[in-house]
Amino acid sequence: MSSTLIQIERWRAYLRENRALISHLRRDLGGRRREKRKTSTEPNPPLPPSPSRTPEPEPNPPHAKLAREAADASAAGADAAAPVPEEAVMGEAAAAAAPEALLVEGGGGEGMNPNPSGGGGGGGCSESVSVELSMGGDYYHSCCGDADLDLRAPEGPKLPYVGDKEPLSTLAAEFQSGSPILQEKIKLLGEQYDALRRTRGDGNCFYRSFMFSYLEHILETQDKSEVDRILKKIEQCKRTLVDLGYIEFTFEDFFSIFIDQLESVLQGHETSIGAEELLERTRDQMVSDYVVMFFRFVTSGEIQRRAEFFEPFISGLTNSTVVQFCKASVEPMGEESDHVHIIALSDALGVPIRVMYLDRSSCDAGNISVNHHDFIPEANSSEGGAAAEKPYITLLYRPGHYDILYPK
Amino acid sequence: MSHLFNHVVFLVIFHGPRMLVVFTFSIRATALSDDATFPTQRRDRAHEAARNLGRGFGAARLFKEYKEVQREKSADPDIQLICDDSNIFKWTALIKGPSETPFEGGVFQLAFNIPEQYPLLPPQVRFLTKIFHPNVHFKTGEICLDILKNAWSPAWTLQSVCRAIIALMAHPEPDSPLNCDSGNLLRSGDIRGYQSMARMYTRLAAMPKKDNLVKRDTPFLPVVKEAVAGG
Repeated sequence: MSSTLIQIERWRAYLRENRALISHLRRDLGGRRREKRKTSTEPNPPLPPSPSRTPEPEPNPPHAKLAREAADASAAGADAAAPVPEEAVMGEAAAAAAPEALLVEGGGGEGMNPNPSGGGGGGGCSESVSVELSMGGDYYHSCCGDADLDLRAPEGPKLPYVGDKEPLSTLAAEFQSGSPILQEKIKLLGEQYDALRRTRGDGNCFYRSFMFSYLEHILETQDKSEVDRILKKIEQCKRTLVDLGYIEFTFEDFFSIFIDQLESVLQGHETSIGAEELLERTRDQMVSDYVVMFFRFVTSGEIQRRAEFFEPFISGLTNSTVVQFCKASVEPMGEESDHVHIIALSDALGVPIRVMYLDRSSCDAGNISVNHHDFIPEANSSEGGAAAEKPYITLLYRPGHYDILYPK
Repeated sequence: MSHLFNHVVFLVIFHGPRMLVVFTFSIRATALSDDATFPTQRRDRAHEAARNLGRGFGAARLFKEYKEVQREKSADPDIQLICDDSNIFKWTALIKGPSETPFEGGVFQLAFNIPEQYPLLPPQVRFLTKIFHPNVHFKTGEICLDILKNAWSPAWTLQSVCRAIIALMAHPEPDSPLNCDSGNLLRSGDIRGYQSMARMYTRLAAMPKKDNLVKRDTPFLPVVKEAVAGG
């Protein structure tokens, strides 16, 4: 229990010290999330009526912060949506793009607002009840949206968590009317890779891609020494979390589910499974989410264990502390992954990962090439041997989304 | 199936979730062989088994939390967590209002309604005791706290959620109000107004009615104490 205390004390201390920062961060995260929610599913119920003299909250709240968020959103939206054609191949990117309009609408109203109380406004309480209220409504959405709707509604016409293997030509077909740079890059990809497996764009795509790719690799190679190696690493991760003050029962189930999967892809046991069953399990909501959560715990633990190393990356990214970052952007389901997460997971488990970037960069020089980055675990490079190993997990990155690639 | 399921939960509680995996996968296997000719039904069964698996994990996790709560009963005198006798997915908590706040001296009751997919999904928590706080809905008791919504992760426990709620009581966030009247008082700088309103409701709703003036520092009502001992 004392460990919880420590956790909470830390949390309290941060709250006290960085209140402004935290609320800024919340707004930031809330903003992003709201975008996702508003399009992906029927949003939350409107703000329930407040105790007294309260007119109904406006659904499109006009105030200053919204305008700023709208600007952010449109920037992000444009960024993410640019290289993608109309069909929502990447749920996230598409979701990010659409609500832009919604928000801008809200921001547009700002001009008419006599009291754009973006936090500093303060006074004018009696006059601007509806403004304040609508603001409440706004935050109500951001802060009190339904948690993970994906978890509640696993069935539907959506892409499965992990799709079927498909030839790379389907990717080319998808970009047929897209940017010529991307078409060129897909051609180049085709020289090295021949197949693709899509994952659902629910913010967990990196972890699910990694999960399936890794387990499939073990299933195909039956590499017992690799399994023994990763089991040792997992044991270390467990200790890391305990040392950080996590209570063991909060994460042990997630660990044991992953270890179960690991053991069952090794053949020769009563519980051994084949490729088909592996796919089925990765598509099973419970198993899949538990494994994703296992990776999230491992990633969070690694980032916090080497806080000094990760701190500059994180403060550059989000302007938050390492612990805040882990609590807000690593541990919760559905939080998207970035370089930081990949480095941490790759290091923690000692598994090298290659990421191919399908974006519009490097188009100025004339000779187009597909950028890639190899995440080589730190420990491996010192142990030698493994360092020379080419990553056997290759992911295809398009802004905001990861899929699995299969080399020729 | 439901009889079988009860059995599963029983096993989980005593052998932990790994046992459950083996067990439920064997259920799934029988389901598969039984209904080989009826694919849809087979799928339904498999799905049900998977769902029960999730529920089993939720129950197992809650049971661990229950044991922890029993073991550390005295560790945190500000929080009493009580599990419903017949349903491990329903809990009640009694928390003490933090000192140096208008809630000091009050005992607030929280209702936990825990989804089957816990701990992947957060518990639903609301105040049963009326409270005047910017981030608590005045009528429904709904709490606006990010960790109960989109910032939830399984690293939190019912106990740490209670702590977070106590922290929220001490550090209201008037910029994201669920109770706008309360939020507006704080936002307009009327700290005294906020405190006296909050204090009034604490006295009205969160303190023993008769002796709230005499024995203000009585931690819990006797009735409540009994409930704790029983639960």
